[in-house]
Amino acid sequence: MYRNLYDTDPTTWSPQGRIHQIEYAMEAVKQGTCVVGLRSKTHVVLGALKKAQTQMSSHQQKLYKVDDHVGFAASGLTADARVLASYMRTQCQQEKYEFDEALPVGRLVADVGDRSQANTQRMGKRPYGVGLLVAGSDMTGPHLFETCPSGNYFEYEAMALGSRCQSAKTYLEKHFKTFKEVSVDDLIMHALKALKKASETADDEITAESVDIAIVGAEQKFKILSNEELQVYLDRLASEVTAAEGGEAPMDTT
Amino acid sequence: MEDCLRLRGRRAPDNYGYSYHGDYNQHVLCGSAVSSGQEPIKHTTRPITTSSTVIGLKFNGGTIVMSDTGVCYGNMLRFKSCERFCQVGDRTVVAASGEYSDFQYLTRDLKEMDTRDWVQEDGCSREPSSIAAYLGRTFYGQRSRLDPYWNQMIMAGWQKTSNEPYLGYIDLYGTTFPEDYIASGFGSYLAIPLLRKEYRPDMTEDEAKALLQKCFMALFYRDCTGLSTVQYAVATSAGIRLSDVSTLTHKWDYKLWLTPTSQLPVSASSW
Repeated sequence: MYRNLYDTDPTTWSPQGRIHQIEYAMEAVKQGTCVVGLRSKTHVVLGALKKAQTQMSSHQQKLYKVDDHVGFAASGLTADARVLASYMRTQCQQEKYEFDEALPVGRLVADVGDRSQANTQRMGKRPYGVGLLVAGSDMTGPHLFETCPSGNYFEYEAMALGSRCQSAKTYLEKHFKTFKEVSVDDLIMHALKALKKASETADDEITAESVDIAIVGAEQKFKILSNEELQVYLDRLASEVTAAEGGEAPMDTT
Repeated sequence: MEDCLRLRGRRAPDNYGYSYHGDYNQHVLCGSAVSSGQEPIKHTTRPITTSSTVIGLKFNGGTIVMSDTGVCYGNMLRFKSCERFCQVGDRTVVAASGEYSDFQYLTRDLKEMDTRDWVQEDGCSREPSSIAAYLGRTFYGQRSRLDPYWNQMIMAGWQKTSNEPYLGYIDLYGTTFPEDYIASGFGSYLAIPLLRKEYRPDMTEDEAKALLQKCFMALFYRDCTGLSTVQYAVATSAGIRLSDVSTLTHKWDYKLWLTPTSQLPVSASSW
């Protein structure tokens, strides 16, 4: 029977030049529910689909506020996301104490990258099994970053992570060039539409309970929308869909 | 005399600063005067080479800070051409009074901080207010260890995000605050009344400079550690401009000053 000899810990290379432990961790990111992030000239919006373990349980937390100017959406192991949330909050507090200033988003993400990388180079450790979409605003404007278990990080205009994120990604790729100029409301609508694409493939409905949306901008502190605030956008989404179905020329929602 | 010098030195045996957590190496550094190794740790209780006044004020469109270039050993004006400014980044300048060696150390620390910032290569640079906060924390931490940096710092700069001038003060206790005009050292006694009388927020740069020169003139005449060679730095939206050293014109042959006190009427001899 086939057995992989080179995947027992992150310090072992395979002869093909790969580190399987890291690749497995990257797979864990794809197991989480879909999260999306998108950026305009002034704001960043994060969106997440939430699962409930059973009908009796609460929905899992997908969005984390780190500081007034930054937060993230996580896909993968929630326990690892919580550890990183705690680390990032500490980093931001440290900066606030020492310099009386908000930590630039890029530096926070680089810190997370360094910390994740350290886990990929030590025997007896394992990489974090979580990918983050970090949204924040600092003196250089709004930013959206993705972090990986490998320690890599990238900046994006728009990005989706998690299971069935491909359909959300396709939606974002089609529309991201228009995001720069749109209003916050429209940016939130785009986030919901992208999430809808991902949930449709799983035959799920999106409701105020199963979706989380957060916004952040220069004048807007990081805020996770309440169910009531979210419902307004969901109603708008529903009416747009009905209009598209009833109208002569259906709106293109692909 | 020997006693006097010993008292001025760091870690002189009869200084009274002490810390409750003992550190073996510190005792060793105290030298042969400490025999038991159980005595309290000793720190600076008075500075050695000090500089005096720095004055800063905000004017319409910027901040200006002026200092003389003298550094004293005790009351002797020992060094006459020391620069007391340290530029950090592209829009902050720090000017110091107090222990000159502590200032030199802090200069290195601030430059290192600036380098750490620069290597990030992300286009973010520190605001003057943020450097002031950093210095304030540094001073407060050090004084909490009962080993303060013996300085009063005046910072001038330009706040990029809010697009306005910045002027701040930090002292050896870690007190940190922004103000419209600030004077340190002997100037906090002699220059503040002049500034209260003549300061306006809408001054031009030239008016502000003239007011500062007037203050330093007053200080040169009355403060024995004051010097007539001065230097100033201006912070505007364009960045930091550090001036050359210039000498204030001074005049000593006033008739009243040339007349021996014994020949003056009683009412005029209080000088």
